[in-house]
Amino acid sequence: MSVSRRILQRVEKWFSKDGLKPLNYDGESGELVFSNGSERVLVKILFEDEADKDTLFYALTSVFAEASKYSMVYIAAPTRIRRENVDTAPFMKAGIGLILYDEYEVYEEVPAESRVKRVSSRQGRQPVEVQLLEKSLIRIDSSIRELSERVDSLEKAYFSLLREVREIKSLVEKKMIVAEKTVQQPPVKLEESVETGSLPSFLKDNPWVEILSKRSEESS
Amino acid sequence: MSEAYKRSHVLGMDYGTSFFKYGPISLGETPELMENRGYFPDKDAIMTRIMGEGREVVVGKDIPMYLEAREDLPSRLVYPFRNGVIEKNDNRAWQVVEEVSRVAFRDFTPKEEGFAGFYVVASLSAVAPRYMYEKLFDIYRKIDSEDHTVAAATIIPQPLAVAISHKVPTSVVVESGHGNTQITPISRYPVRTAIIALNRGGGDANSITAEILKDSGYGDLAKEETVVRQVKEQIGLVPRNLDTAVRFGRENPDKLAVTINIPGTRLRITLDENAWLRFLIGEYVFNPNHEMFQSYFARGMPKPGDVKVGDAFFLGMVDMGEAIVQSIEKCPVELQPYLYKQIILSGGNFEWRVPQGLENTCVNSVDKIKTMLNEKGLPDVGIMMANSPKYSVWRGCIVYGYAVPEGFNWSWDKMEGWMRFR
Repeated sequence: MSVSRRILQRVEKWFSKDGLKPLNYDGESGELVFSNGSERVLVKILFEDEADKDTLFYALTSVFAEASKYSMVYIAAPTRIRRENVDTAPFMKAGIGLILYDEYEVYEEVPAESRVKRVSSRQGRQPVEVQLLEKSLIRIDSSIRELSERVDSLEKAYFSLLREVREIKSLVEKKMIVAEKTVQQPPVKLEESVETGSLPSFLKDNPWVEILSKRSEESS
Repeated sequence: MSEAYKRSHVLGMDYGTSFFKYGPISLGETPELMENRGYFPDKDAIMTRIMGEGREVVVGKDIPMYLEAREDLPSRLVYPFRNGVIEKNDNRAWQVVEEVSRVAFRDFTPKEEGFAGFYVVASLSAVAPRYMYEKLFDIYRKIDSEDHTVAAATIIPQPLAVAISHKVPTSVVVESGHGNTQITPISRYPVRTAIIALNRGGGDANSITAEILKDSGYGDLAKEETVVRQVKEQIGLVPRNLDTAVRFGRENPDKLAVTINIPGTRLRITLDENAWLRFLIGEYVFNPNHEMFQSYFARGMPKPGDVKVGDAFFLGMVDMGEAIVQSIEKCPVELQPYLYKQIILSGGNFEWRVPQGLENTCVNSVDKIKTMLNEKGLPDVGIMMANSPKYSVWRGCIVYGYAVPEGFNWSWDKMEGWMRFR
């Protein structure tokens, strides 16, 4: 799997926690659009090889022009961009979110402002802190769900391993003799043996068969 | 259960002194076998902890993985049938019997639908007392209550099984194992009142072999039972007549000189000048009364004594020819000529070979017994070695289970029939 594909997946997973599904991806511009039916979110992804301070602000300018078309707009950049002392104030002012990704996770550096709310209920708009708290709660909730899923799958793996260990143990108990045994013939039904004349030699023409078969008569 | 079902689900179990032979009728000519012993591991040992929790006794091929310090072995390694008889309260021995029996069921219980249990035919020593039968039935009852694998069970004396597998209804079976020798006349039934047991077997031949090793400068090896047994098997000879053979051996040491290697080791054992001692090993099995053995007894080699194990008496020093005669003479006179004509020798203690070039001095077991009986005024005797002595008891068990009718219930008076647990 390519690096860019892995990054896309990571970003998709992060947004899926809020019920957003990828709608469209433009490989040339690196723009990924998510939607949950009523809202659309634009994410511009800066990949490892192109991301630096300049391209980040260039990207900010380019998405800002389109921001009005979307409920929220984000820029996704590699975590190492932090080392370039990026000033996040322009992002906050513009209401553009900034998310950072690394090999394993995606972090939200600056939350994006929801433009839908701004338009629909400007008066009743909640303070940014409350919005941030709500979002954090949603994230925590989703993280808990994810952890719970992981615990479930670990539990399943544990029980499956336990079963395997028990099976191996029981095989060991049946000792190495099993391995040394020549391939055991499936039990042959004796009736079949009689028909095919393949009775063991010690049973064939054995006078004891008749003697013993009359034991109950002798007894009575 | 139908007769046809029973016939196809007979499971034989021969509790031999050294090996437990087991398996269903469908195995054909040869059963499975495992050493009839159990190891009681030290529960703190690392292997015990790795291999599983709470294994009180280990049997079969797992044993070597558990063996610990050599000095521990005698107390932890239990051979329950070494003497053919297990004491009633020897709980460890009975635990081993239960465990090896479980292995037989575990290995062969089919997964087929309609399986309603095996018809188990077990075989015990001819001198096994009644409580051994009761104990063994208890074990099967317990196993069946847990796994439903025993439709019915019966127990027969090992010599009867040998006679059955050899297709001879009237015979004397001389079964000589590690710990003892049983002489059982059979005329359609074992003649229980005529059974004679000797307190001598392969283990005693091992004892004299160990003494010979000591005398030849291999005292350190004489302590290792397995080495001693291997040496016995490779160098032991049965003389036609001990005095003549010893004289021959002393005059022709080169003809008897032998060097053997213990397989898988660097051990080499050489007997040259005193190679005539090889004759003592075989002779001792058949007749320990020769004066040559007195010096060994005097030096501390245990003398086979008359003992009572359980309810059975085992004679120590009676020679084998005499024991056969005594046993046959306890039977009706009319029957005796038929018995002398069919003497079957069975068990590993009769497996002696005659090396090339020594045919005039050495004999096999059949000729030895024939010679001994001839000397007692019985010129016309018929003696044969059991075919596949290792398996003949198991085979007899299979025939017994196959032939005895399903509806024939166990009788404690006759000690025959099927015991049911459900």
